[in-house]
Amino acid sequence: MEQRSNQEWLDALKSPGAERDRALAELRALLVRGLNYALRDWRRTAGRDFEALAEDFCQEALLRILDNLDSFEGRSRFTTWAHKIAVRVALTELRRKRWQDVSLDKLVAEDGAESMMSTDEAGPETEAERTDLMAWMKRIMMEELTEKQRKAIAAIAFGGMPLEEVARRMDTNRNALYKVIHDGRVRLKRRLAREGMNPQDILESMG
Amino acid sequence: MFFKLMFSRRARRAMKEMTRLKSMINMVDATAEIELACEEAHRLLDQYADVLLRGEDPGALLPQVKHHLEMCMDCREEFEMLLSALRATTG
Repeated sequence: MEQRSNQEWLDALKSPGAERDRALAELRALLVRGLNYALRDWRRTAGRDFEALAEDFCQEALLRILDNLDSFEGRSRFTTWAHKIAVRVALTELRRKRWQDVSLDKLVAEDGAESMMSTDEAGPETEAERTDLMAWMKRIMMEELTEKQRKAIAAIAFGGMPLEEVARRMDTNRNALYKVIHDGRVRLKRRLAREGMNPQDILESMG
Repeated sequence: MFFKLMFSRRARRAMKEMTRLKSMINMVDATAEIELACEEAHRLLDQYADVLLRGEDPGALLPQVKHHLEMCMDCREEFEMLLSALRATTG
């Protein structure tokens, strides 16, 4: 395969005719090879002919690449930028597929992730906990985080659901949900500071 | 027997909660007032990967991307796959 500079890739992909077809074929082969290797741990999730699926992802990625050539800023090699787009296309679809049968509410409820952020649960162990650091931390989380933040954190940090999939179920997008969670973490951090608590000291006390 | 089972279930649950709280506290401790969100980090991910593959320190050049990758599981997974794809095609 010939080595092209970034400008040569851009010129070839923007030019009409055979030169563009040749560049597209080269790029497609490169992306397929990269995805086939990078996604090897997802073969079971893919569920059908993996190579065919990788071809589909690359087709979708090529369309996006062609649509977004003008947004390539030249901060990296053109091919690195193209691989980045192909990986995003593939992972978005594979994550959707892997988590398609999992309900957000069920995940956080069944796994106990939601209840760890609530203090209204009665039980013999709860009385003892109320006096210690764990109960205090749980109460702080209840007071500082919104229901949306608690649910998202529980699903992502404790339930292992990808941010992207949680966002889809909350009718938002990954970027916006990251900001929502970040806002929650900042609130907790400020609260600990106001209470004069150092996170590392808390961890040490927990043993 | 029943009480023993109940106790061990409670003990396991308490252990699980403790582990989760610790991970939460670590996340809070690592939180910065200003962080890149996923799309901003994604925009710089190709540059970050190339710097790393050149044997340089991308965290020194793009510390906010490094921090985002430490905080965001989705983006970290994408970055690792990107590196994997690049290593498979540029070796």
